[in-house]
Amino acid sequence: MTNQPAKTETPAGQRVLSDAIVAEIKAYFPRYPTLQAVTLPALHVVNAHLRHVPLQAVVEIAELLELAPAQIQDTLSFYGFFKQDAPHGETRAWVCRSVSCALRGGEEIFAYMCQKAGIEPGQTTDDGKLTLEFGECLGACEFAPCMLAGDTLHKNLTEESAGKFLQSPTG
Amino acid sequence: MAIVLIDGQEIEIGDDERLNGIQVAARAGVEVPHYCWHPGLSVVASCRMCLVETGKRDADSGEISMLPKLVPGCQTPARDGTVFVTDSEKVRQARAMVEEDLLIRHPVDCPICDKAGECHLQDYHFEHGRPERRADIKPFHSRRRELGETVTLFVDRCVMCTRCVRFTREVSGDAELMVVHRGAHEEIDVFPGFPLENKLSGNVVDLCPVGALGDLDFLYSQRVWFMKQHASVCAGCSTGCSIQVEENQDRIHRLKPRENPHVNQWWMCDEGRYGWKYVHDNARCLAPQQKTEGAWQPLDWSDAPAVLHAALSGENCSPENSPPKNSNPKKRRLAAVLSPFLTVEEAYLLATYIRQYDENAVLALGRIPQAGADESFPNGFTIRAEKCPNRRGVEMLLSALTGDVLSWESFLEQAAETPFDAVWITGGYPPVNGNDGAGEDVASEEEKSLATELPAGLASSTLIVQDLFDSALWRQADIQLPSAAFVERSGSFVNAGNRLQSFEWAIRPPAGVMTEGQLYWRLLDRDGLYNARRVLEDVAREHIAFAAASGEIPATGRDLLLNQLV
Ligand code: SF4
Ligand code: SF4
Ligand code: FES
Ligand code: FES
Repeated sequence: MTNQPAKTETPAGQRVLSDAIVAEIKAYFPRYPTLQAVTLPALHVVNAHLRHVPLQAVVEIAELLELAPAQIQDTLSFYGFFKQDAPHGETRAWVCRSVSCALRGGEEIFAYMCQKAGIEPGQTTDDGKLTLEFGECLGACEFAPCMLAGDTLHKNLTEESAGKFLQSPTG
Repeated sequence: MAIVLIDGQEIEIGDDERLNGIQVAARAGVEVPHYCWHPGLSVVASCRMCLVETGKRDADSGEISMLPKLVPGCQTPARDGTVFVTDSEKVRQARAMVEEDLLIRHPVDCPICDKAGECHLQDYHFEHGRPERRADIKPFHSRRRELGETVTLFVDRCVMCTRCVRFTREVSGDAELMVVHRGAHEEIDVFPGFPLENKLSGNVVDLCPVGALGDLDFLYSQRVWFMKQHASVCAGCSTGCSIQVEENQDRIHRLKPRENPHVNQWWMCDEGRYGWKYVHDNARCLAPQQKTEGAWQPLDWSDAPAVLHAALSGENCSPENSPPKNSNPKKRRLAAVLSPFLTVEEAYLLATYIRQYDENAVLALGRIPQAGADESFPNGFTIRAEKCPNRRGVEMLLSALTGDVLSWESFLEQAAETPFDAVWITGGYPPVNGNDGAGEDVASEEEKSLATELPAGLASSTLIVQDLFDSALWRQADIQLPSAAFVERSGSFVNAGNRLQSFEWAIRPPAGVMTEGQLYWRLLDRDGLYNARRVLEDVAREHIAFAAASGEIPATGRDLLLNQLV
């Protein structure tokens, strides 16, 4: 491996998981039959705190769960959910593009929102407040087109309601 | 007993046998193509190449009811009354579809791929694929990245069988490999900064059914169809893995493990896999020589019997006449050191020869090279610290012949007390600075000192030294006899678990070298060419410890403790 960093112990100073995060992960241990089963809860804990799961965090999770980093990364990369390069915005919003919403103009709304926010799909605004992404069926087809922003469902999106959301996406 | 039906053919399997569809089909002589299944790994049934039809035959009525859908043969257990159909139109269609799918994004760069000729994708496509390509995608990438020091990945050739990933998790245990992303984007990779570097890593290349994983040591060195395969036994340590030596015109290109459920299953370690380089080392001793009045003279092999006779008995005989047997009028005190690199047969022949001159000749076990501690892996595979293949075999022979095993160290002490008149020392050790694949210096202090100093007590004896490489012993010898390497010899090794495995030579020794077996055979005036099989029969007949070694030795060897009270 010439083009990859050498296998080294990370000095404690460079660790990305705080003691609080570690404690939160460890609290899951008694709930599962094996440490490997804590992989997903651990990824969610880290993502909730850091808004992404950088490679170093993967290494540290692996140490906690007594696994190889490759085993964590394998699971992590199964999902499109966990970003690794940079944190997502304070609010992460998924505009649905599955069939009901698409038929009711979801894609157009999404294009409108991206253009308004000045970002490409999947990107984060410069002020770090908002990440806009495509989502698949949110299970709310009766309110198509809709969007999930953080934990809040926005129903029957129009350019107007979307514009309003964009003005203060963090609520 | 259970009866399974394969394409209408009844196959009997034992009650305690747990076989899947692929395995029972193989018993019926039917090959079910498969990628992801491997007998040494867990079953994931992900590649779908092994899809077959299955059903059940009612025990009473004999009526067969089939499942409507296809099932993976690798994951379907064979029980009494299980029916498999592997050659229906439905099955053929399924195979063709899997092949088509696998080739959609495959670069089809067989002409420059190391695996061509032994590739399952090639073979299966030829046999089960569609003659024409329907997809119009032609974006062939051919990306490559290194996974570690010895293994490289041709990313786009991969069929995502995950054998390699499972191997690192289940067998070697370090879990360096992973699948990143999913669907059409999935790829094999290592985590940045955690390369594939365990002592069994070379096995993933053998496991890979296609040309995705390449062995950097072997890469582009030889087309597989130019090589001949020879069953052999690794001489790297006392585990004695069953291996296959692949050579072309007496040049080794790679070693591969050979399946042996009693020893190494399907695996071998990297030390053994890459540890054969010394065989072709230019520094090997190639010329027999004798010291006459302090000066080296070339020794012709045809004169060797007379010269050795003189060295051992102290009596000259003219080179024209073959030396008289059993003549040791001067009652010289003789000794032979039997290296743990000798085969049982060679050790036996040399011991017999020396004892013709002195029936009380001291027989000792050669130096046992040690490095580190035994290393075991999660599935039980063990690399032994004892870096020689036949300590057990020579030991058993010594206790049979002398009632005792005299170690090299004790032998040197004896020699220091009362020097021998003549000593024959066999070697065959790989070069001192080691060739363990990782390039580390594994030489012990003792090995280093042997390279430079002659052990006290040997200085006044007539020394016959037979070895592969130069050492102080070699330089101080009165007669130098070059050795052959393990792949050049025939005979049997007994591993740490008392399993005797026989092997035939795979390559011829370099010009000038006579193999140990052939030399001893000639010294004992036996007819024709050295025949290890015949020698082993003698050993088995004469020594109870080797009784189990009579008759044909199976390819997986024979347990010498079988039927013995221990
Ligand atoms: S690299 Fe080879 S062994 Fe590994 S998943 Fe791909 S095809 Fe299978
Ligand atoms: S474990 Fe020992 S015998 Fe087996 S391949 Fe390695 S060195 Fe050779
Ligand atoms: S399709 Fe958008 S919520 Fe179901
Ligand atoms: S071998 Fe059965 S699914 Fe892959």
